[in-house]
Amino acid sequence: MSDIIFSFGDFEIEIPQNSTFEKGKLSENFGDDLDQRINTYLNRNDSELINSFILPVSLTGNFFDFSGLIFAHHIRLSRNLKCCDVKVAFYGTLELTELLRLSPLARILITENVFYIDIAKHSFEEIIELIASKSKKINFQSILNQIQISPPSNYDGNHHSVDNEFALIQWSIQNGSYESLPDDFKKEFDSLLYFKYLRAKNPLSHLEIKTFEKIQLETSIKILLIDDESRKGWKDFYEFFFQKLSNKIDFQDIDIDFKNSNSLDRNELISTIISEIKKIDPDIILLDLRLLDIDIDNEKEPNQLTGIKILEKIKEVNNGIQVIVTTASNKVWNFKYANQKGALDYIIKNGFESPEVTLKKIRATIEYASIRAIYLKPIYNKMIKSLNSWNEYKLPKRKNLNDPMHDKLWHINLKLQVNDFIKNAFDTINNDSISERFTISTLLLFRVIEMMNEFYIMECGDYRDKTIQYFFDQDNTMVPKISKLKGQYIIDSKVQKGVQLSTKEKTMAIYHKTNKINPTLFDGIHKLTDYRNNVTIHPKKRFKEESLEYMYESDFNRFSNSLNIYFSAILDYVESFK
Amino acid sequence: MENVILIEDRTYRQRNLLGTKLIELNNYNLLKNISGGEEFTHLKEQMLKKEYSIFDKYSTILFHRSAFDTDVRNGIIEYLKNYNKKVVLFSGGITGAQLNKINNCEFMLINVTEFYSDNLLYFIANGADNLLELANGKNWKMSILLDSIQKVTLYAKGFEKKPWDIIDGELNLHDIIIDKYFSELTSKFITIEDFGDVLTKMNLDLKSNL
Repeated sequence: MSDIIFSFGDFEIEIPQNSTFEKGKLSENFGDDLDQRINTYLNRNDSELINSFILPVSLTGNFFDFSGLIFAHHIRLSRNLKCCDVKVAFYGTLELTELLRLSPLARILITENVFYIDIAKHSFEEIIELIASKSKKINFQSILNQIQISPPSNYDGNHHSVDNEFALIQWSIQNGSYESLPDDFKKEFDSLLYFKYLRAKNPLSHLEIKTFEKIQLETSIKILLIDDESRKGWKDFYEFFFQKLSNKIDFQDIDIDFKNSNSLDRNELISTIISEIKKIDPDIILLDLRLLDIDIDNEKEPNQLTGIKILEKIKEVNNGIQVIVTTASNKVWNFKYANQKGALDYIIKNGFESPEVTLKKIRATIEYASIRAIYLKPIYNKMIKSLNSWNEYKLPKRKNLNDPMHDKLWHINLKLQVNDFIKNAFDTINNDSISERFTISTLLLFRVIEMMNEFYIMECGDYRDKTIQYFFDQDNTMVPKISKLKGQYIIDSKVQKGVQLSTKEKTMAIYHKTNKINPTLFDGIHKLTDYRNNVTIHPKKRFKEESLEYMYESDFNRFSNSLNIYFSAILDYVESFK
Repeated sequence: MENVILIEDRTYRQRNLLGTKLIELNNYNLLKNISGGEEFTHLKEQMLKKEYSIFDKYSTILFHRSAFDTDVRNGIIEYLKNYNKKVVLFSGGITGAQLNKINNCEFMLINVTEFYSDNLLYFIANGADNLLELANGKNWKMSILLDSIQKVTLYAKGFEKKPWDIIDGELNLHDIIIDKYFSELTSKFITIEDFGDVLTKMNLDLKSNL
């Protein structure tokens, strides 16, 4: 057993001859932080043989760094070491009360198994006697309540990087990925006194590694991480986490040195990121809001944050990409703003909440985002393609403008209105805060076919006296009635006067005039109009209650298939006008 | 003449933490401030090629710890420790300011917020020679006084009469301590009583400043 005695600064203490005393000396690797040097010293192979430590208040040439007091905290908080409860005797010349006034770290001097000897009044022999006496069993919890350790004063003053790193430590321990984190960062995490303190204050309720329910995916999805701390462990954490959740998740990050980018080239940085996004084509993006030093200014408006600017650009690339904000900031207005700009959800990097609960939430968020992205991203791509085609299409001039059924103004704006209605239908379905989004979106799509019908088909006569007849506006030819019989579409070109055509029949007729029969499209139009008629606008009596339930359906899973069918039909229809 | 070099890769952070004091700092002729940009990129390339002699003309070298990766940083430290220089590494994730000496080279590791403070200007204004000024600002003498009281107290235990020259070599006290408390004793054999008197004066000064 040995008793370790440390000198201070360049002063050498003479140790008693033939004693168990050993001179303590920290490594001279001055590129390492004091915490790392102390941690390395304590993790020596024979640490279980240490009987006691005798320390000055400061080990270095700067008295006010209180490095001796920091050393004692390391001893107590390194619970993995057998020497964590040994006696610690301090020597110094200041009064204990003065030390307590100078630094909160001095509180350790009044905890169990720690002694402070004023060397002006007592001899070294007294210290030796003190450490030779039997040591008390300590109550660690009580010590933990007595000591106080402040976080390193990071430049932002908000300790966000501490939150960020502590979350990474806790989460990766909980899911078993800690060992896969980069060595440099594990070294820092393992040695930093503040993290030892936080880990002692926030012990994981269950130390065993948790596995989380797998995500069942219909198809492979790509998840992209955009985070300035990505290569400081987050990439490794997510990679491990997602691999365990599904073998259909392809995860990658954007490797950019964010901290070395300044405000002057921020636009260039954003452009580079967007180019990468277009290349990678992700379904889900985990996006940090504060990526550059300029984002740390507390006075910054949310719209000035680099992450928000990237979010806006992502939504221009493909509004169906699901963006989840990941941040150590807890500023509610930032989340609110990100949500308004199209972010689906957020993950707060906070190691103080139960990691198990947080990881479950992340899993659920990823699962939901995956389902949404699988449907919404292709729909968005198709929408852009269809609307581009529609916008290039030269709208014919209406020939029967005197028809009182038609408003001249909207005919002029038909192209614009089709764009607006379809885009609004997409934005509505993509907005989780609208509970009846499925119904609204469907009605907006229905309005598109109604507008088309009104533009292309002229009605003559009145259905009430059975004189109604339908003609195409362009050539005054009769509109045929297309109906489905035993799985086949039957076209009746000579429709009798008085036979009323439904919205879907008109739409099929318009499509048939420019193209041919498209059973998929017709089926989609049929389902869309049925939903509109039977559930929302003219619900049958016995369906009324059920209809209400449908109208307020908020489970994306339940309406995603129908949604896909409706959008596909409308977009194919719009694109057919060439 | 420039004899202090400050190397920072995170320009915005320097600007943000120093504010208008950055202009004042850059006005000191003895300081070469490399803050990001092409000059930093060029310096980084030189460091990768182990061209450390660029530091030869500077007596004080201040740099952001993470501006260079671990291998490069260790290479720089290994080179500088053989010279009589002051080397300061500042960083965000560390606590306080630790001062260490190896050979004739003094090393300080300091938190970035404490680094970019009034203390930096005070340190530069006084010639950038006393690292305790950087760590403690105008309180730097207190740190030396506390350190010296400990040294003298321990040294005086079991002390036998010795000439000042020997004591000077063994105690290695700072010049300001010698000037203030030992100037009248340097020509004679020092006794335990002399140490007692010196410690009384030192403690009185300490109490009046604490």
